[in-house]
Amino acid sequence: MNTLQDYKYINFPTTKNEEWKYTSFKEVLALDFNLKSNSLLQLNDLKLDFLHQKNDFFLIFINGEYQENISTVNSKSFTIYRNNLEEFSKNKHLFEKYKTYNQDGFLEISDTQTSNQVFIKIFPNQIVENPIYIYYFNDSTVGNSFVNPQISVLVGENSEAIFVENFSKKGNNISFTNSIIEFVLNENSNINYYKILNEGNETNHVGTTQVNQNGKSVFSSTTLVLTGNIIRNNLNISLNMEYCETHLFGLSLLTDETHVDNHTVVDHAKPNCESNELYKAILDKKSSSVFNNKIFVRQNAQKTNAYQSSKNILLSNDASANSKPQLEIWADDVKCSHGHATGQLNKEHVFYLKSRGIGEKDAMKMLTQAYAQDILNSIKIESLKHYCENEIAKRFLL
Amino acid sequence: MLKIKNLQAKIGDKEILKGLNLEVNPGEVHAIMGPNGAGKSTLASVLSGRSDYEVTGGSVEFLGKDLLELAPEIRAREGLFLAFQYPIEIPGVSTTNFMKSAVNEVRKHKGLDPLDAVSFLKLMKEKMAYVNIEQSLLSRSLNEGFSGGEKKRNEIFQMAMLDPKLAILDETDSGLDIDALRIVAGGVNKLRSKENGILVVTHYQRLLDYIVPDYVHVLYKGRIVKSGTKELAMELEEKGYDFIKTELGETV
Repeated sequence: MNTLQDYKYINFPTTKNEEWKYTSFKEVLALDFNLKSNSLLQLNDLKLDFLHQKNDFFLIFINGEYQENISTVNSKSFTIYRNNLEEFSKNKHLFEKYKTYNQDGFLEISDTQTSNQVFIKIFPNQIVENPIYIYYFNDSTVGNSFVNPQISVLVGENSEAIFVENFSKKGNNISFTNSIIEFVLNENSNINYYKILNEGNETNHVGTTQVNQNGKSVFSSTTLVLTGNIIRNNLNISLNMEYCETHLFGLSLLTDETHVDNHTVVDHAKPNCESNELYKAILDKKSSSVFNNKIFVRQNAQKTNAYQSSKNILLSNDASANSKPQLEIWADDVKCSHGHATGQLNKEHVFYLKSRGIGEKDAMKMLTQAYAQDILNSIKIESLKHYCENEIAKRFLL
Repeated sequence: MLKIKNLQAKIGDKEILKGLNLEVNPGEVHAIMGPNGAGKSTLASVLSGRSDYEVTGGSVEFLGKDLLELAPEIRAREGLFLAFQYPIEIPGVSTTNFMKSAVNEVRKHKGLDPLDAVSFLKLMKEKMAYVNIEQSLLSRSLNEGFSGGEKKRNEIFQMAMLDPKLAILDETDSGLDIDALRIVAGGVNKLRSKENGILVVTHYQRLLDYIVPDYVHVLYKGRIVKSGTKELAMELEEKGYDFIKTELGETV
């Protein structure tokens, strides 16, 4: 079995790197990890973590490897190719040119583990009738476990689909998930994408989502972080043709010592595209968050609309939030805005509810839910939205 | 039910209440009047438990308990209600949504079972009629985009829902036109009973045309300097607050 120590030549980014200023995996990566640990997990061991409804599709990954036998993906609208290098290589060029935004050690180690690659092809003119859930299980039963799942999704023109990524940890050793999912959206296609991180506080995560949009395509994403040790989400959007739309939402509800770093890049390469970003964080105890958003508006990307906003609420004196907006604009006829705010729950709001007989904890719960609601409203799958609402409600019952 | 003795309070370094005495018995409506800066809103805030104010002396007894020892939510559950002078907006929280928790907290405090959805809705419908408020308004974010009248009607609606022993109306007439004032006052009058006390804090006499008080007190420089019946309010309206100052021997 390979271990991470076998790849000592790989340099993982440190806080000296501007893009990693607030997020350090140094201590974690000093430990040794198995790559592709053995796992004895069976379908029955996984069911508690399921979020999907009857008839929804689901793919299961265990320690980075796609588990075809226990996944449910029969559809006329799409096909999944596993380790089918011929089919993948035929389409590889579509994905390849976009791997430029975060070229770092995490991508490098991922490239050494290519036998795990899965390629999902959604045929043109299809509306995938049910959401596609992707469950990633990191099983550290036999030792610290570092896994590298990789998925490439090609969305045919005029097609629509919903993806949900959910990450779970099994076993008592330390887990590290370094996942990559990349999308190519052909003309007029529409993807809703949800990423849920709620796998407990002993988990480390670097996830990269690369999205390449062709003309008139729409991509909407919601990234929800509830628990974890150190988490880095890279979300890179490239608007390559005219009249694309992208909507990026994020909610981090953090406590203990969880650290979340949401890095997004939206690259407006062509005119008449719109991007919209709203990230919120609610931070308790010693948790911390980073929101780093970069928008490029290239020289000929006239009539671009690009908006970004992040809002943070600190519930404790030991919590912290860093927001860093970056706009690089070379075109002159564009509308861009950014706004970032960090504060506390409004004391007047808390007092008003208390003056009606509602206890402090309940008042805070109500106000926090209200604060999170506009992000939760971006979740179009009702059952998933309820799950998230319940998870938030549970926080305040402790 | 409410006994305020020699109450002193400050905000920051500024002393506002400087030895206030007041007693309200069940069934009584008391009006507290006074010029701007006399301490009217401070009194309402201190009674409801707002933490910006520091009580530096005196005592407040409410239904036999030391009110000042109780957290704001416990005061509410014990039967104290404050209708806010400036009802705030809370995005994402609807009146219906938090009133259900509020009503059930009060019931729990009294040892009653929580209301089920049907009984709660029934109670809402009944109390909505008191102040002529629409269900749709109560399902929206609290006070967001409400008119001044709607905000105050919402306050009185909440008062009706919680059925308090003692209601404090803080400048409930401010920002209301005459029609809204009638509706709001009408709602309050429906809630008057032999068991309940009401403390009306107001700058102007006009609210007292609709909510007729049993007693009127003039608050000035942090103390009650004159008490009387509703005629005192008329006299104030006629002569202005300067006449109090003259009576106290101050030069105007």
